[in-house]
Amino acid sequence: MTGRSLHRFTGDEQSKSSSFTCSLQDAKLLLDSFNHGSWSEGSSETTVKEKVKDKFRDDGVYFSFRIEHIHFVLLISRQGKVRLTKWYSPYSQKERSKVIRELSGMILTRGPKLSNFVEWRGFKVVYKRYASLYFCMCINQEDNELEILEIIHHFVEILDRYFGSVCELDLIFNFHKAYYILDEILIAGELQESSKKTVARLVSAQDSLVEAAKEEANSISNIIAQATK
Amino acid sequence: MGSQGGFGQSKEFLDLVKSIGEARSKSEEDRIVLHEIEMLKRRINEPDIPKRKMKEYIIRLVYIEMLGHDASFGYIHAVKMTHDDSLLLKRTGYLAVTLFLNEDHDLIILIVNTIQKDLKSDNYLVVCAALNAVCKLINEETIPAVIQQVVELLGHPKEGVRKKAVMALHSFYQRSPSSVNHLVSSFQKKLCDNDPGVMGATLFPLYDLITIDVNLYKDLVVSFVNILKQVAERRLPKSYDYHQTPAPFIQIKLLKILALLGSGDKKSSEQMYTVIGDIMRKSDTASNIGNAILYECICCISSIQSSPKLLETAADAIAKFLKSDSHNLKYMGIDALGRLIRISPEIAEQHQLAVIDCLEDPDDTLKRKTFELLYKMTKSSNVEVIVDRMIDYMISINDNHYKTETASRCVELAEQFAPSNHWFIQTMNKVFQHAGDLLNPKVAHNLMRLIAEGFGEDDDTADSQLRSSAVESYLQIVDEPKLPSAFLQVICWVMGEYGTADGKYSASYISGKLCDAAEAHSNDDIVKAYAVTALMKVYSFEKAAGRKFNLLPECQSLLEELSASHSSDLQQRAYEFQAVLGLDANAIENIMPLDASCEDIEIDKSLSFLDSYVHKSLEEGAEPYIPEHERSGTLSISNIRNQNHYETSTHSLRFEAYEVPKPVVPIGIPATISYPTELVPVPEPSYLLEVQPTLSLAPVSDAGSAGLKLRLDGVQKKWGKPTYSSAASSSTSNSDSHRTTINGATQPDTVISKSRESSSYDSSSRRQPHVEVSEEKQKLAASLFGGTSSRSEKKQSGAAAAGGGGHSKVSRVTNHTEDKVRPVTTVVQPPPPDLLDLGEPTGAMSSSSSAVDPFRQLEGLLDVSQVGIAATPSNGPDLMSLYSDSSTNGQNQSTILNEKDDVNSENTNKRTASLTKGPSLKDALNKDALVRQMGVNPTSQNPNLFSDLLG
Repeated sequence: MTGRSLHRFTGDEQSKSSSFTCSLQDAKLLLDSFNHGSWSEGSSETTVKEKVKDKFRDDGVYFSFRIEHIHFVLLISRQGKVRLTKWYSPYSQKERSKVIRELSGMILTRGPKLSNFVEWRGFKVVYKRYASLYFCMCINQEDNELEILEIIHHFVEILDRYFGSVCELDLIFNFHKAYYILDEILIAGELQESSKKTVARLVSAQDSLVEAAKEEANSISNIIAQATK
Repeated sequence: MGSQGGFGQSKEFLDLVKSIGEARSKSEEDRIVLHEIEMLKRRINEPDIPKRKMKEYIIRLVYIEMLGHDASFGYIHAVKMTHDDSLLLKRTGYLAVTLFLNEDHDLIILIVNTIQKDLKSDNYLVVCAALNAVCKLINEETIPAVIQQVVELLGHPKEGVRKKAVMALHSFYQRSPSSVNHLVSSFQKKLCDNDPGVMGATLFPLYDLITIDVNLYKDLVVSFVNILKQVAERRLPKSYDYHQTPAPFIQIKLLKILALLGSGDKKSSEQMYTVIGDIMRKSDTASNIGNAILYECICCISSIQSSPKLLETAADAIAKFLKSDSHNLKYMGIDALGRLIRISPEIAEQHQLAVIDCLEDPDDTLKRKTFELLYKMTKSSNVEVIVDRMIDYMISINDNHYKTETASRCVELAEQFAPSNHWFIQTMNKVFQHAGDLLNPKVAHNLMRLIAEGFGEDDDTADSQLRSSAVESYLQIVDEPKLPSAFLQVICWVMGEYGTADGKYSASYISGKLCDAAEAHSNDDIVKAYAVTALMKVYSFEKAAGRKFNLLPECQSLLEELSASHSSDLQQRAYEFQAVLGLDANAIENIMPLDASCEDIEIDKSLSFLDSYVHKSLEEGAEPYIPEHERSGTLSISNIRNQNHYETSTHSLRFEAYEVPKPVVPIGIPATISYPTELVPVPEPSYLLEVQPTLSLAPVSDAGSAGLKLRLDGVQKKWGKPTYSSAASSSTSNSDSHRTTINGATQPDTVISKSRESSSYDSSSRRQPHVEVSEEKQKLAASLFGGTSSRSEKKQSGAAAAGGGGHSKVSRVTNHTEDKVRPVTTVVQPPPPDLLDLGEPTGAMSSSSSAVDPFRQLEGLLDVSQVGIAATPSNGPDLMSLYSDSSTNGQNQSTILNEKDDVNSENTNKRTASLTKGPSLKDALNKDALVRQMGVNPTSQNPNLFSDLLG
């Protein structure tokens, strides 16, 4: 192909046109973000995937494996309200809101009989609905979706056991406890423990220690209160 | 502790959660959160906040951050909290920082010290909390600070700590592979850990290591196979069972590892055959997790050097997936099929109907996956059908990411397998029309090149037919509104270059169209530039051919407008146009040769025509040119940097001072003899070759740098009309070397009519198969999969590809699979009603009797479909069965309840009540009462808040 002058009259245009289409795409993105989200405020930041890619492009050494297995965990209610978020890959606050907006738009509108997977910006999001709550996990293209579906269920079963027939309200008011439990199940975006018993044991050990600390604190403050009376 | 009820937070915080829960819109929610932020900002900086209060503030910060607002003002307090001695507070602190901070945050450095301390703690819970933070927060720079301690923790007596230590090393590996490489033996040791949890965790770092270099770990194949065998034989403790499947997550990870190890290695693969076969036989296809394992087995089989028997088992499993009613399984089946056809392409054939069903499925995810499969199995016999389908799909979706992906796949397939030029042009038109601006600009330039060069055959008539049909199709399209800019550029270029070439259309007609295009897209400078250059070509061809012509009035006005344009590029084009028009025919023919876009340009890289000039200058005492790399001054400055850097620096800002020109002693005359070849040393020959379009500019910049050492390349590019006048010395002889290229002979008129016939014939023949396809899936199947079968369809689809549409239509109807297909097509059901839609819960509620327990009602509402499947009236109490696959219902429930017992014995509180359904309802009612007490009104917005997630 060398030595040809197809672009005899277009050479300089090429460079310009590429920059131009970029800006046009930005404008489109802006439009999209207006159209998509239910409560959208448009913003023209670059897409998450591009960001992530850029991050990896610079240090190509760990491009292939730096990516976590599970990128994030989202719990969204049927109304699109966020109940829990955990990000294993780096996302800025702005990107996070955008991700949530896009995904809730996609997932909440899906019919009941469809598959539990959604493709999204080159990733896959596996979701499952429990009562009015959607549990979503974002994974890579080549991961095993059914496995993730079961990890979600594993998480829910452990929550169920911890809270005793867990319901959405438990998670609303005790989100920090849900975080502790999630930290025992997933770590660095991987399933660290597949035994419910072990997780339960660890969480309750922490809880009992916390209880003990509380009692201690109470008794000390009681003593102080008594002494200062 | 102003706690209320069982939730353990202050009234204030509960109110916050409540009010956000009741917010009707995002803006209302934002308002509440912003108010909360204001308040926290004030309070959190007050002196002497009690620790417990501070803990609650931190949790409120977490809440704010979770809702998508910025809580960075409080990060530092979370960091401080990790320093606290009390585990309770420390844990909260760690939780908050892991949620707040990314690994590159500045505050991390303040935590590292605490982490180091905590890793040494006697209390294993403190160590666990610290390790959790390590996994998330320690970055490449801080790994050395903690890695030693983490490695030591691999020998910790508590298995929970060992496991987390392994996971921490796994996360180190992901951040900086070199930091963990020396620990391979430790990992191998941990693989034999007593605790299955630790063993399972060790698989993650090992998987990472194996991904990088498979060959180092071939000796581990036996161990992995053994472990997998033991796991599958239920040797692990019962607590690792998941829905009666022994440690499925560990099995899946092991299968992933085996897939890596067996890839392309017959010997290793053979060791795995038995265990994989066993697992596939044993796997429980009724449960989700069983299918997950099955799918992983198929992935493994498609990756390793499989035996025919395993392939057969895999094909059977895929068949089961595809026949399933579950969309999830169909999806997995399509995916697995895509993996397996790489090794045995003939499998696809038996599943053709299932695949086509998936293609027409209402589920977009499944559809997309199926297109991916089709993309993988495209060949020249089925490319037309597949690409047509893909384009239809591409038009139907809005998601830019997937539109782009589908478009580029269409382009790729069309370029690779196009059966005819005409089809190719038509396909590209469609793709460009609908996704032109999403595509890589390169694609547009490729298309132009293809039209200019033809398909590489030495058949001039075919090439000119291609061009004529391109021009014709573009003339039809160009008036359409809202064409993407990239497509318009292609159209303008082609019309300029070939619009009048076949003589079918007059110059004024073409130029009228071009003017219209420029006018219709008056805010797109690039399109205007293309259009004006195309106009210039059209008129110069006319003039060169000696024909009379008049400049169209709209063209005249366009020129006037552009001459006053703000864009200097457009301005210059307009002026050049006018200048070219003023030249005589002979000159124009030299400047604008007809159809010369593909001609080779001879480039005199050594600029030998300047030799005499240089020689003369040297004789008059000018400084000789020293190639850049020989210039000592430059070297002394940039010798720290490597050559690479230097090359880039020529295009960017330089921060070093320019070297002082060294007074070089004039070299004697002998030197000048060899000199001319060195004049333009072409420091980066690759640059010259790659940047083809700017080729004509390169000599100028080189000449410039030879003379003045000014870097002109950037400037030239910007103003880059090929008619460079700055190198005055290069004169016409130079420009001629670029421009004087031989015309392709003008096409005789007979060709035109022929091409026209063939194009209309082509388009009609193309349409027919398409219509058929939408009518009957079976024909689609034949055209999609026909290539794989050795039967008669093959010939037919081949014929179709060749353009004999009318004939193939007839023969396809007689396809042998038709009768089989009939039933399948009729069974297509309307999409099921949206059972789970709770849009108007009140309406649904009112229809059922009020005597029934409200919670059961809710459950019924939620899971009508599943209840329907189970079809037992006593189903209400069966908590788990509502979720799980029907066959394993009873067992699931019992295991869960049993395990629940364990938990309960540890926490002997109200939870004993949750052993049976009745009490669990009571539990829920308790919660309800509690929440009502707090003022949350369940009926107001979301009654589901109170329904058990698993119910």
